[in-house]
Amino acid sequence: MFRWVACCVFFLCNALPALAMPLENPQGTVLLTVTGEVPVKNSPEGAAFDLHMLEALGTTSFTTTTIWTEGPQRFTGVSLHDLLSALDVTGGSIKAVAINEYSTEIPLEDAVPEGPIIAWARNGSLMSVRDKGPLWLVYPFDDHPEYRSEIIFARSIWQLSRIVVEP
Amino acid sequence: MSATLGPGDGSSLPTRKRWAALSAPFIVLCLAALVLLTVDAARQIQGLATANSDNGQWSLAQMEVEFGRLQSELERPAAYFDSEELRLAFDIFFSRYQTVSRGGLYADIVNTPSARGPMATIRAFLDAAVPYIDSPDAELAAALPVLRAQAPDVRLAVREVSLTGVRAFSAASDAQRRKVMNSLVRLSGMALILVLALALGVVALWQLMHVARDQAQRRARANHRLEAVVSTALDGIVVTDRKGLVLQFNGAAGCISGYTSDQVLGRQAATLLFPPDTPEADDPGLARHAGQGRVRCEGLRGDGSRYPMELSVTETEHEGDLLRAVYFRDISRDISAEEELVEARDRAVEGEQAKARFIAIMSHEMRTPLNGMIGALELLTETELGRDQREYLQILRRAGDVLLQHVNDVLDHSRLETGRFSFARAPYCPIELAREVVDVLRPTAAARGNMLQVNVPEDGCPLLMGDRSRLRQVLVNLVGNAIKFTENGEIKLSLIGLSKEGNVIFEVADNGIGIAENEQERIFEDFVTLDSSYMRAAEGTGLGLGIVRRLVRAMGGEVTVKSAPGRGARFHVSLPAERAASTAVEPQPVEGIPEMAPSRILVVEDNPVNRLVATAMLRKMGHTVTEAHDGAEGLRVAATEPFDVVLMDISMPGLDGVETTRRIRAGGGVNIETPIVALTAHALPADMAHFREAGMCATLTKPITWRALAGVLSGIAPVQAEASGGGSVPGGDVTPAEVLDDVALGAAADSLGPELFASLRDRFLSETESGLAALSEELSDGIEPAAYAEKIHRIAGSAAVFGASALHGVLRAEEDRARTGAPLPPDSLETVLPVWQATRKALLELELQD
Repeated sequence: MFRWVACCVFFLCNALPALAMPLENPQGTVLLTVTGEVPVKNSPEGAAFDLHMLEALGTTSFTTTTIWTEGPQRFTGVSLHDLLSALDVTGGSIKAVAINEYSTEIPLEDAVPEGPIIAWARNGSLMSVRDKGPLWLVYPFDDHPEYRSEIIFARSIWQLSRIVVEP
Repeated sequence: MSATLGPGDGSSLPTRKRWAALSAPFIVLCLAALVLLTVDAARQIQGLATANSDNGQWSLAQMEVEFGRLQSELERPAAYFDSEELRLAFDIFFSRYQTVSRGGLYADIVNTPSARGPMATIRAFLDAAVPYIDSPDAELAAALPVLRAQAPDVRLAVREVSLTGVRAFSAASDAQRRKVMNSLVRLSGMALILVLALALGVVALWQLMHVARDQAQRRARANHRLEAVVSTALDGIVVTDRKGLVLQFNGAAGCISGYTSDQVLGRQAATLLFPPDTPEADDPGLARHAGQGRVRCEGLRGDGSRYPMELSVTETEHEGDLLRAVYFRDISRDISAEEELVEARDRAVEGEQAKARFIAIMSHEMRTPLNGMIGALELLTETELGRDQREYLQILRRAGDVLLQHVNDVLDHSRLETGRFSFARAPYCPIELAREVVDVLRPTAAARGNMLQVNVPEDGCPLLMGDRSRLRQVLVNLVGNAIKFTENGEIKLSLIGLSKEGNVIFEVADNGIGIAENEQERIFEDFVTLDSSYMRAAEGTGLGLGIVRRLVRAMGGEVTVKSAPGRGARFHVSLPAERAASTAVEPQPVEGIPEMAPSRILVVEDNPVNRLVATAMLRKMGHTVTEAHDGAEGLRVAATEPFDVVLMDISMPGLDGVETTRRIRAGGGVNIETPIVALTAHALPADMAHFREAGMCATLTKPITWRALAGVLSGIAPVQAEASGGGSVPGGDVTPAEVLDDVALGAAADSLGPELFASLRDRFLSETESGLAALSEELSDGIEPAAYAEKIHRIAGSAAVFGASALHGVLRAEEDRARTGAPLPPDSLETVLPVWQATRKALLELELQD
């Protein structure tokens, strides 16, 4: 009986490797914490990520201008879509919270491939807090002009530290 | 019937087009403006929605908040000092400052003079603080008082920047709002204009719809009427297009041609309606007869039969479309009716002509025997008759004369009617003519107790060109008419003279019974005798005045009458007068006549024709003539009645001229000194001496001519003996031109007038015919030469009068031969008869030419 259950679990784990992959624990400084209705966790509250873990989710880069910076900027990070996929988040909404407690609601529909990324590097350098780091949710404004709206600007949260998945 | 034609189309269409032409650009303009404005407004609104800006005010306010957090970390008592919190707060503020100072969004704010100073203050603070913040905790703690000391100033600076931002953002959003509002106002304005334009368009469309509906109704009504007209038309109507293809075909067209509408629609009208060999069939467009009115041609029926067609083609140009309407009908009946009519008319005309010919021939045929009868009566008067017989004879003669007159009237009338009338054109003297007419009719007038007078202009009248004898006939008729309707009254023939218009005017006035006004036109009509009660007084065919008017009109003149019942009548004849050129006028014997006082003249002549001629000439000259039929009667008359001149024929039965003259001279009667002129057809110089010896003062050779007679009478010309002709005998092939002497014939015709001349000529013809026939018989019986000569002489005298010079010549030769007393061969007349035949023929032809 136990063996049968174990076989099933094993089978399920192999069948859904991305989702079922048990999340490792952060080794370095935790840059991002995902709490709330997160199916995949590495802590009681949810999932915590250091830079290494974020990089392991797959990096995405694009170059765009922003209204807060001068000139084109190259951002590198993990796409929100990849992050949420890795965490098996399929429903509800998410709330992004910054170090200074600024928060914004981001609908799950925004998490599409080619969509926003959670960037940790700008122009090849990691971003400090003074430089709107360590994480900055950036939309590819130049690639998709429809992102150039006040609502999207408000969602482009910098000094991101936490994501709360709400039911 | 399709709706192809309708009233009003032509006028409203351009209006509609103009309307469309005007409104289309306007609407396009409005739409373009609306699109532009909508795009603009959308951009503005898009600008609001996707503004290239974050919530700037919030960022600036956040800067204050974040500085407040930094300050509170700085102010924290030493016991609670948390370096990490301080550093985080500093970094957050630093980040915020950089966002504000670097972001293009805030350039407008941080570059304003009021913000530049505070920004510099904040920058200086941050630059000074960074080394401490980045230092280890101990050094940071040591530096806290320094940072804390600066904090109030920085706070003020942050506040100032924030406030500047508030002002700038509110100004910007004000401007943005105004811009959006302006856009919206423009958009609404434009929309309003468009709405108004659309409303106007709707109204216009509504009106157009009404107009169109009215037009459609009118057109429908018109079409309905037209259809009714076309379908009930009796004529076939075919409407074709430019190529001649049938568009419409009405019922009558079907009835006439035998096609049904379905059979012909869309097909060539020309080949359907006309036989292939006609020019119409080769004219597909039917343009040949367009606008030509009614045209007759040949039509074709569906069954191939042909019929006479009358058609008319009209063309209509409508909006560049050429329509031809062909109206046609079967005129078989018309044509046959026409033919019948023409035939009937031809028959009628033919009948009329035949009737006229019949009348002319009958009149002519009647006249010849009538002349014979009158001649015979004339001869009868010369025989021994009892008193009763003589009276009956007179009645017979009068009746014969009247009958002859009537026959002549009818003949004239029929000639005038058939237009077979030509007028001579020769010089004549109107004065002399007037006098002659009066002279001729004086006895008739006197018989009814009427005074007949003639008036002529005192200053005379020039010679005129014209047909004297026809004019004479007119005047004789008018005067004769006046005599008929006047009893014991006065009749006056006046030559008024030449009018200003160049017309010669005669007037015949009487004081007889007159004519009522309403009858005055009728009297000129043919066969009109007004009142049966007049018939007693007026015997006639009723043709007299009709002939007068026809003659006068044929000569280019007019005859009118003025009259009232009981007050007589006045007839007015006006004829175009042309003066005779003086050179053209031959000296006329009558010219001398007026110089001579009218004389009383006794004519002793046994030959009635010669006597009549002489009498007529003398009367015409204005003389009063008494006739004696032979020497005895002449002697008797001359014994009691004084005369100015006596004309004495030489050869007369019983007492001859010479003996009679002797007895007058010897008798001691009233005419013992009266000049006696010898008349002879046959005067030898020895004879003339013999005459003179007997007491004759002059000799006139027959035929008597005007010139000779006038010369003798006026005493101007010496007595002359003109021996005419000689005894040349023309051959058997004599021609009319040779047998007749135009001068003598003309003189006779002129002096006698047409009626009398014709009458005498007819008499001459019949008498000569019978006379020669009798002589021929007597010759074979063996007649005495003297008696033969006498009879030949008599015929020769007549021949001379009629200008039958050839006949006269051969007869004279024959007479001379007979007088020698030599025995007569039985074929003695052989030389005479051919000449007689030729003469007769010539005279008859003359009649026909007349």
